[in-house]
Amino acid sequence: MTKIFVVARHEFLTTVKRVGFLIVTFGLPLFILGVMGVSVLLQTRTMEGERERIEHSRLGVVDESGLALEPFPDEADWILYPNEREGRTRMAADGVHTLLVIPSDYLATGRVRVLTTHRPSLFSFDRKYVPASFEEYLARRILKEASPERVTRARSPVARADTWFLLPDASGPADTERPEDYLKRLLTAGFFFLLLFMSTSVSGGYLIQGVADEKENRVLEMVISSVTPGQLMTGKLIGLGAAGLLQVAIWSALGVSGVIWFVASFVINPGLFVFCALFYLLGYLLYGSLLLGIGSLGTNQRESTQYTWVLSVLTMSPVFVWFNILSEPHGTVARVFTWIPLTSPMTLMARFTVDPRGTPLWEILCVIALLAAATFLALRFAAKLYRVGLLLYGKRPTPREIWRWMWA
Amino acid sequence: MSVASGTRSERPKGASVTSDFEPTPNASRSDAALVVERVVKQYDRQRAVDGIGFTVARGELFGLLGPNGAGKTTLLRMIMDILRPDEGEIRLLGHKMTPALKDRVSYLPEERGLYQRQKVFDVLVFLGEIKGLPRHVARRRADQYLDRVGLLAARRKKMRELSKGMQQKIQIAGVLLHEPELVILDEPFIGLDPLNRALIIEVMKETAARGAAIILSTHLMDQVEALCGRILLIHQGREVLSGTVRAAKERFADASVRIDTDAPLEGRPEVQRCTPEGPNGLVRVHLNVKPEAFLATLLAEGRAIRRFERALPSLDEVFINATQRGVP
Repeated sequence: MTKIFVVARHEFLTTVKRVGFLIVTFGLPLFILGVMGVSVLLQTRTMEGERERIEHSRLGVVDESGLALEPFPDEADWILYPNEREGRTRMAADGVHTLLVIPSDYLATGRVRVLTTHRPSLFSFDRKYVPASFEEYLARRILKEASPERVTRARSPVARADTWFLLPDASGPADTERPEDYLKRLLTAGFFFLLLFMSTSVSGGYLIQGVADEKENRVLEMVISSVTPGQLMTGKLIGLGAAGLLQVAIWSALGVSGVIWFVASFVINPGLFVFCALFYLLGYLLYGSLLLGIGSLGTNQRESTQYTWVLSVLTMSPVFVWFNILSEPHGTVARVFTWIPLTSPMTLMARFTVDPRGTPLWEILCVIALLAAATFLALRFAAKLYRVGLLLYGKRPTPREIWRWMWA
Repeated sequence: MSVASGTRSERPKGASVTSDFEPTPNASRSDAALVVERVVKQYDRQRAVDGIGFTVARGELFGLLGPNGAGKTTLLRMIMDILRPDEGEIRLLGHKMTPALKDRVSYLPEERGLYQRQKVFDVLVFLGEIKGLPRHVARRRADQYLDRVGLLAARRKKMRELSKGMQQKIQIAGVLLHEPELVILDEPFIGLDPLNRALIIEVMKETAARGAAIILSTHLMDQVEALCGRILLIHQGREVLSGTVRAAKERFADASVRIDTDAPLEGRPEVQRCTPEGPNGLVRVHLNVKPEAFLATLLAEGRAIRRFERALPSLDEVFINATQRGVP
């Protein structure tokens, strides 16, 4: 254990002290935040300006609907034109930027025609160019005898729906849960999903880089004359996994919401937190050990990456079907991904979160057992490949050789 | 005591095994630093190491020699448990290799390097810690050994800032700083200038003097002659020659002598050829007859003979003859 700890600490410190690590950890998110912040600020200001201009600029109205819109309220800066042609002719001289034509079939269709000099920005193409004050006025004219409360209700018939989700139970009446509770579960699973995705991506990169660096530096033979390949591999998994986690944690902290998310996940549902943490750990160990074992067969970082890209894509594949898994947690896709050890951590976390009662206990236990067995075998085979792979300098092994080394 | 043993079905062309020149110094098999017994390592259809056996005593400097591709590195890797032998047994310090035993043994491989982006001191501390030294001891020893190899001033430098020779000395410091009982050095002098080579030889002698066994694998025969009491020469995975350096040389000595005499030597029927050795009249003479007969002839002629000795071949010559023509 001591040597594993020494290797883990060495790997961790070596990684986090690198200038590249510091730049990526602190510089990259700050850069992205900066760019995004400036972009969002500019966009918000642009859209706010657009809205202000629409709300407060003079409005021209042509009423062909027969709703008898005049007289307009005193405070409204609206001009009524007798027809569209007249309006289009006079609007420039009257300082009108938007001409609203309410056609004769308006009550049946709800459609109006808008003629405006305003131009939308990229993110406001669906803007209606109808001032909210005019919509409010229109509603009141439609319901001209109704009380203000009725007008308000008519504009928003269901302002709030207190909802409970039913949890079917064959043995009695269905239990209920609040959507907020469901959302909290989703947040916990989402947190671990993102954590697994990001930290395996980040740590995976470090693992490949670490092995390639050591091979290129020719330092491995000296090291494995002091520690066993298994100790070296485990130490690397722990140290570089911790470095990856630290990086993801710092990114989360820079976004503040990540920390709140993490704490909330644990406080809200510690049981689910432990469940997800177990899958995270097994998932990382399985992926990391295979990555190290196979990656060690490459003679440099490029080759190691080539050997392991299929593994990486397979592990991350639940991301591509994430919405399908959430919408159909017991569908074929979700079930198939559940039983593939590399994809089961992400998939089962999602399934269990969406529908804890719908995921049978036997299936969860079997998947945990399968995942644990796969992790154990992966560590074992990877250690064997690692032992041989570390000494491969400039020689590409054949599939037959790899197979033989695995079982040696 | 036999210093070399091994069963083998066939040998390299022209080569024969010779051993038992002299007993292993200070060693019985039970307290030897290293016992290698008939180890075999096969890759596909080729035997990289074929039935090699030898022992190394504590405190001994032992030379492992052989041409490129002879199987030396494979043999050393098997000793360090980096590779597993297909047959045979290896015992270090009286035990089969275990993870704990690795802390008492040290290995400087031929394929070597150090973490280029790390600082010299940190690298040494790490190497000490993975050999089981507590962190504070590893830190202290790192400074001691850096001082010993003359690189204390470079402790805060990154490895990549150092010259190849300096890195080489740091590798050797890293191998020795946990004060192992058995040290295996594969080509330790590559990249070192004569001054630094002399420094490392001194360090190796100090290490042996405190009781550590050292196995030295090198192509530099003059270093082997300067350091090693015994050698093992292997070729094509098999043992060709083993024993003391002197015995090996005597084994390959031909009918040549060094003579300092007033007699004219050129043109004599007993003399094959003469080669002057230095300015003081010493001549190396290759004879067609036995040296004893030639000496008797000169004495009978009443010649003045100031020096007459058997000329032994250099270790380089032994190496070339043994690997190319086999052992006489």
